[in-house]
This record gives sequence, C-alpha cells and structure tokens, in this order.
Amino acid sequence: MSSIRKVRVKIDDLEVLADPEEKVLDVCRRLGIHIPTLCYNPLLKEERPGSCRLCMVAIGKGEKVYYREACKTPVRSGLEVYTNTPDVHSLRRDIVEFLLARHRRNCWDCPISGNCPFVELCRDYDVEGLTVCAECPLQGEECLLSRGEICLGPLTYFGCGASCTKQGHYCFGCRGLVPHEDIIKSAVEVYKSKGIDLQKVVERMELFSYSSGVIEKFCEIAGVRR
Amino acid sequence: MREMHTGLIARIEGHGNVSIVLRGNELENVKMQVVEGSRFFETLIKGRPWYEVPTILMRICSICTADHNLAAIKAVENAFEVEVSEQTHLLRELLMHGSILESHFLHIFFLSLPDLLGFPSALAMKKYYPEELEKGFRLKKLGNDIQRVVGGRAIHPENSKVGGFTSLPTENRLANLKRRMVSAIEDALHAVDLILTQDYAEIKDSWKIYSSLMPGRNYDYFGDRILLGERVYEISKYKEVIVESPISHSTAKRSTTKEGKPIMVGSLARLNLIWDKLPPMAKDLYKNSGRFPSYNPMENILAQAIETIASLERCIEIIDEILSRGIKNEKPLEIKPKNSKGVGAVEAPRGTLYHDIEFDEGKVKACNIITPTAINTYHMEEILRKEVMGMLSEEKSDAEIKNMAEVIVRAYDPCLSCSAHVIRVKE
Repeated sequence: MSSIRKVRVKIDDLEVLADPEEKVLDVCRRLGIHIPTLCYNPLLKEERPGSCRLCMVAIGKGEKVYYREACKTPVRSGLEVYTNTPDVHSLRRDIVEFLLARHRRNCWDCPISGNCPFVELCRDYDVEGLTVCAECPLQGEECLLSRGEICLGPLTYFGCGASCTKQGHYCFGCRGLVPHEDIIKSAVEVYKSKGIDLQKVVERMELFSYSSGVIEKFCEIAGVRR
Repeated sequence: MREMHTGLIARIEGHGNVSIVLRGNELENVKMQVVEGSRFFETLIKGRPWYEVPTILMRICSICTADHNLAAIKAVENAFEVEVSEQTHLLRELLMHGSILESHFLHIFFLSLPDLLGFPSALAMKKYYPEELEKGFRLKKLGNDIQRVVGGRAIHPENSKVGGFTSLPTENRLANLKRRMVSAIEDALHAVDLILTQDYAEIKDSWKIYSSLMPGRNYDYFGDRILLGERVYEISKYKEVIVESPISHSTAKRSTTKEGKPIMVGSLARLNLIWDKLPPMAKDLYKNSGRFPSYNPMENILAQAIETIASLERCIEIIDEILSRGIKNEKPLEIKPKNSKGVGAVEAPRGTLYHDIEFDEGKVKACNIITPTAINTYHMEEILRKEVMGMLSEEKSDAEIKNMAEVIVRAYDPCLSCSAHVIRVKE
C-alpha cells in the first residue's frame, strides 16, 4: 500500500480502508468477495473496457441506490457498496441473458471446450436459456402477438435466429419450451397484456412439447385447465 | 435352405436391406426389407387443427420437405376449396424445383455416381474426380438455396402456408438465384455427359407399368390427374390406382395396381410418360440420348439428370416471369374450414406422393399418406427376384449377387424413412 491518505469505504456493511487510486473491484478482490467478470484482465491495469458489465454493484441503499460497474468505479470516502443484493443478482442475470443473446452458441467447435466461464455464469445466475423473443426483430406493433397471432416466441428456446417469425410466421415451439418458472411467468404476462386466449396457447404448445411438463407449469401459473 | 443378407444398404436414405432366401440352388424368395420403425404420422396429426397439418407432415422427410409441405397444403386447399393466386402458384413451383434439384443432385453425385464409376463411396472418388464432386456440392447447394429464398429455410420451408406465403422473396435475391442457375446448367450438362458415357447393367422391366401426375402446360411436378400407363384418373380416386396391403417382412406396405402388378414411379416413369412436356434443352437431351423410352430401372439416374436440366430451365423461366410481373405483396388467403376431405398429390423427386386428409370442424379426422418409395418397393422386389434368378443360373458368387442387389436398390433412389403409416393392433 502506498503512503497516500487512505479512504474509508463500506463494502457489504464491512468498513475497509482503501487506496483512493483503487477501483471498487480491486478492493472486493482483495477482500475475497466474488464478483463475476468476463472482460476484466489483471494484466491490463489501466485499460479496463468495462464492456461485459457483469461486475455491476449497488451503490447506496434504499431510495438513492444506483448501479455501477465495479471495475470502473473509483473508491471515495463514504462510499457504500453492496455486491450481492437480490436486485444486483437479477441485474446480473439480465446481463448474462443479454450476453447470451449475442454469444455464438456453436459450443461443439468452440476452442474453450469444457472449461467455459460462460456456462458457469449461466449456471450461477440460473439462466436456463433464452426465448425466441430475444432474437426476434419484430418489435412493438410489428410483434405477431400484437397482430393477434398466437406466437410461442415468449416460451420457446432461442438459437434458431427467429427464422420463422422473421418470415412473418408465428413460432410454434419446435425447439422446445424453456422450463424456467420466471420465463413462463413473464410469458403469461405478455400473453395477458396482448389479450391472447391462454387456452389457445396451451393448445399450440401441445404440438412439440406434449409431455415436457412445461404445459402443466404454464397452466398452473396462468390459471387455465389443460 | 440358406439366406443371403446384404446387411443395411449404404448410400440410401433410411435403413433397409435385401434378404435372398435360397433352397439348394433354387431361389425361394427375395425380400426387400424396410427396417425403419414406423413413425405414426398418420395418427400423430389426428385432432390437430388444419393450419398445423403442413407444418407437421413436412417433417416426415428432410430431403423432400417441400414436397410433403406442398402435398399437405394441396390436400387442405382441395378440402376447403381454396384457389390461390397465380404468383403463389409460381412460387410454389419454384420451391418444388428447388427440392427436386437438391434431391436429384444428392442422388446423382453422392449416392449413385460412385456405383457407375466403380468406387465404394463418393469420398473415394475425390482423388480421380475432384471437379465433379465440387460441382455436386455446388449444385446441391443451389437447390437448398432456392428453398431458402422461397421457403424461408433450407429445409422445412415454414414460409409456405395454406393460401399463400407469409413472406415473399425480394427481387434481388431471385435475380441472384437466376444468375447461379444459368451457370449451373453447364455443370449439370456435364453430369449428364458423364452418366451417358458409363455402361450400366441391362435390366428389363417386363411390366412397364408407370405412373405419374399429369402436368398442366409445363413440366411442373404438379397435377390434378393421375396417369397410370395410358389411363387417366382423378387424384381423389387414387385408391383405384394404388392398392396397399401390409406385409410381414417389412414396415412399408406393399403397393400394387388393382391387378396386383408392381408400379414404378419416379424420374424414369415421369420421362416415359410425360416427356413431351419437357422444356427444349431437356427434350433435346431426351431425344438425342437414344435411350428413351427406357424400361431399365438402372436408367433412373440418367432420367434424374435430364430432369435437373428441365428444372433449371423452368426455374429461369419462372423467375423471369415473376420479375417481369413484379412481386405483389400478397398475404395468405383467409381460410374457412369445412367438414370435408381433400387429396393432395405432387411429384416428389422419387415419384408421386399422396396426402389424403379428412377434416371435421377444422380438425383432422383421418389421414392417409402414400409415399413414392413405398410404391416402388414392390417393383424393386420383383426386379431383384428376376435378376437374382438370372445370376444364379449363371452361377455367380454370393458377393457378386449381393453387390448387384445393392446397386439395383440404389438406382431407385429409395427414401425409406418416410414411414408414415398406422399400425392397427388386433384385439
């Protein structure tokens, strides 16, 4: 540690002294607090791209909370950092999903075979997969659901490049349905907000996922009978 | 009594084998066994709404997806009495030609050409015929790309719906395809020349019963009437043309004429029956080759090669016509479901494909599908029986007989995984 005056910061309710030139991430690493990163490289001391945004932490608490990348945020006196609140967790989860949406998924010919940090991230943040909506270019009024078509986009595993919806054809779930509860919940909300008959959605789900168990979950959450 | 088995035949689509049963030196039986498990598509679609029918049925095969798709669409449209626009019809024809090109080039270059040139596989040809292989890949890709542009995907064209297309190809992409087709004709002509210079086994088909759909003005693989030799039937009466019966040694049903004779469908049958509809360049080839009308099933591969030329010529014509009219922004027609029954048929690469679907309040009540390979299997068996008998009298070795059997089966370009039938269990 250098001889410059230290600053006092609070990380996860723990008061620590830090070098003012340090960034929040460095302090956390020193304390052994795990913050996920992908673009951070200790060899690049000054150049931190801050592009993966996985190291998001909450600064402040209650009403005045805001979120910053730990790798780019310098420490200052009185800084209050929370690294693992439920909100931070869900924010990071969204980021993993965003990254996944743009990530190459040809795992079979990837040089990083078997030791993939991305797969670990997906596991840690409970990302079971994304839906076709993540890849679908149709937004707002163009969305097939807004046009009254019963599209299974909000429920179906992505990876096809939304080849059907791009052609103006509703998604019929050929890649299988994502069994994650959050995704089913948000899909039910989407269908309700677009005024779509949930019973008909269930009918359409039966085509490719008759016995996958997702339909039961969907019925339970949506409150419809199969 | 002993039995000769070819084992699973390589270089065909699906799993099948030929078993030759001998008693002493006398031939007892020849069985063409399709060992694919049944996939129950006919039962699978029962109770599904009409708009899902083409989506489900085109998954019967991944080579002739467009054909199954269009046959199902035609069945639904015939049932609900839908008339599509001229543009939709042209695009469908283009999609169909794409599928024909893809399938024929696959068979010509990678499955049958090694037999003619005397190689064990297409990969072994690489050293001696590198250019031909490269051409094969390029041509097959063209077929896939036509389907991608028109149907939206290289396989399982999701774009093509009952009543029309959900999205239309851009003029640019069509013009691009046309450019590639013009240069593809040269490559395909090269394939025809290559096949014409080879000698193949002389096999006589003594039944000479061929069947195909009767096309309209062009050689377009569609039609509302069935040709069986000289006779003409409406497609709704397909059951008078083909009589199916289950057999114990194979999961494919046996298809015969009413008189119990074997029928051949496919490229050779089409050329023999409707060659006068061929576009000019293909017609010249047909006439100048001096081999047609041909009753040798081995010449199926030459017929396929001529059909690819015909398809390429016709594709260029279609694209010119679409471009000269300009692409109209049409949406699929509104459909009013009825309680009725419809039969749809197309000429798939391997022959006539029938989809017969009955609807009740817009949902499927009953379905019957007859695939071309199922029709050809009996013909194949009978030809094999004759050939094996001939070879036995010439005292050929087992290995030679087995090899011959494989070559004959392959010439038909069988696609054995189209197992779509229902098995009824007796209680």
